[in-house]
Amino acid sequence: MHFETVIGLEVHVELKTNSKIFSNAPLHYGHEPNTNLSVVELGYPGTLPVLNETAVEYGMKAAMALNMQIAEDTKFDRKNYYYPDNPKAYQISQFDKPIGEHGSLDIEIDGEKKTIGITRLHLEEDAGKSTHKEDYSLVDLNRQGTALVEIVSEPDIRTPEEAYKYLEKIKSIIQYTGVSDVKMEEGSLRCDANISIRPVGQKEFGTKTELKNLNSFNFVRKGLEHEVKRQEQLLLSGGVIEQETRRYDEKTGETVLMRVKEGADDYRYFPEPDLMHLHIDDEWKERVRASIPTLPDELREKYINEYDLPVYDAEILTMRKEMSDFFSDMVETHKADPKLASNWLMGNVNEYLNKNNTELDDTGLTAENLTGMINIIEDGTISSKQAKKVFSVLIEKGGTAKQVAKDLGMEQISDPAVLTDMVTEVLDANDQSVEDYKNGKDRAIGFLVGQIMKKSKGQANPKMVNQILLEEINKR
Amino acid sequence: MEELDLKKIQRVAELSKIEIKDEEELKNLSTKIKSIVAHSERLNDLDLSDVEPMTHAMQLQQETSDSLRKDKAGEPVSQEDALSNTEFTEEGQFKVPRMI
Repeated sequence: MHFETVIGLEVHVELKTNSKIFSNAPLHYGHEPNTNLSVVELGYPGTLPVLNETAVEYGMKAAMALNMQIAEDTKFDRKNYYYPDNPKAYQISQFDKPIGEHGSLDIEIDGEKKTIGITRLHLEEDAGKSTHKEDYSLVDLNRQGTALVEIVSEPDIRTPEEAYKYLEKIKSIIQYTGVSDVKMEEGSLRCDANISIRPVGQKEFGTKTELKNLNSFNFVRKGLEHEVKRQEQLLLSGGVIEQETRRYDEKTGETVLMRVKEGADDYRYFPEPDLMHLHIDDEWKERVRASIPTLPDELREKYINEYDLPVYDAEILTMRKEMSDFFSDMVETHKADPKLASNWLMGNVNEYLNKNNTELDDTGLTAENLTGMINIIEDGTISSKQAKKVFSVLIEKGGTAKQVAKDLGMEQISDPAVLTDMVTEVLDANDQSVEDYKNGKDRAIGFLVGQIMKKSKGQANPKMVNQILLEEINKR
Repeated sequence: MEELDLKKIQRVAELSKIEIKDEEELKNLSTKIKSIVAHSERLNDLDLSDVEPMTHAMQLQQETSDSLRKDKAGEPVSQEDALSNTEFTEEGQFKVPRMI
């Protein structure tokens, strides 16, 4: 029997606000435990939540970037649960009136565009972080009350690969809007997956399981791949799939049962009495909409159509806003050749950023100095071999390409008069080679070029040396 | 019917972490809850077909930004104060029974 996989993803994104969603407590990743709190996060009696304006706007911005409709009236609800990571015993979330609905994004699978629907985006608060020891757990509430959006996809995803592409796209779109760092390793982007399988041709969905602890894009792919196999084997051996929550185990690459899934009833949702409805008028929506920069899909098209870049280049360059801003600046402001600029950014620059785990803004590179470097390679001032050295100085320390090349004493000698003198000297000293050349031994040229390069300490412009050498030797 | 109601009440009590002593207490609770539900069911007699649902006692709406909090961080509670109401702490964190 052949099965079809059905996947829906729930993505949580932490918003980069200065304060918590319902209080003015600060939030910083990596601070000492329990030092980013107010009485609101601690759940003290008599405290009340007050909604953070920026959190609402960031939520709207993310929803708009994902092509969603923004609610005119939205409200908050209580999701009740008892767990030590949330002292209030309820999470303020949105149940039936989320801030955004009916969105979508496009992914590309084997060159084909596929649209994945996005059901909803809602605002909520994050919970604290627990660490589990031998026979007790420790709770750090710093993360409690951090503004969060949950983005729920339609069950449109059919393979683990599509899930991977969808996540990559969400990450890049949200990163462009600037509302979150979207760093999975710091927990500002998290993903849970709902997955079921059904015999090919069947209309009804199979029973789904929920996968948690998918802490990297690769784990999402691997966890889903494993879960597809597990469900297939279970069904083929006559078993029944239970609706349950499973955890992906990074060490074994398998999924492990966590708990039998609660239904929505168990959370006893009800409207949050401490917060009033929120009315979002058109003027407010338009103000937020105007603050959204050009998004990766549009840039990608532009790079392909206007700059003639290969699809692959366009995709890599538009993964992060810093990168495409840098590229656009090189091409538009400093008139760099698009393909040459792209080659350096995708190659040496990305390699350096990955190796040093750093961002473009934190290096010495500027759109101006990298363009300058490309220009002096093109006009023959430095060789591409020398360029590598110039590049490492620029990215480490900054400066201008010309000055760095000069400081390194590697500027190519491209002055025809100086080169002609060198060529003449070498020809005078190597009568035999000149003779050999005249007798049709082309190899002699190679030897002569070598002699000239040696004389110039490798700084002579090779193209010009060849040209002048032929001119001079033919005169003899 | 009776059986199901008792089960449901037991389940809600569990979710709310409320301990019910015995069968007698459960039955007693059930009677009271039923009368409350019956009371609120009288609302079903009203024709509300052209009334918008209301989910908050105050019909005020937060009009764009005016009554929202500006995103400015204030001074947080100190770690010492945050942990001051429990004797179970370790490494600046709350120490609780193992969760998983």
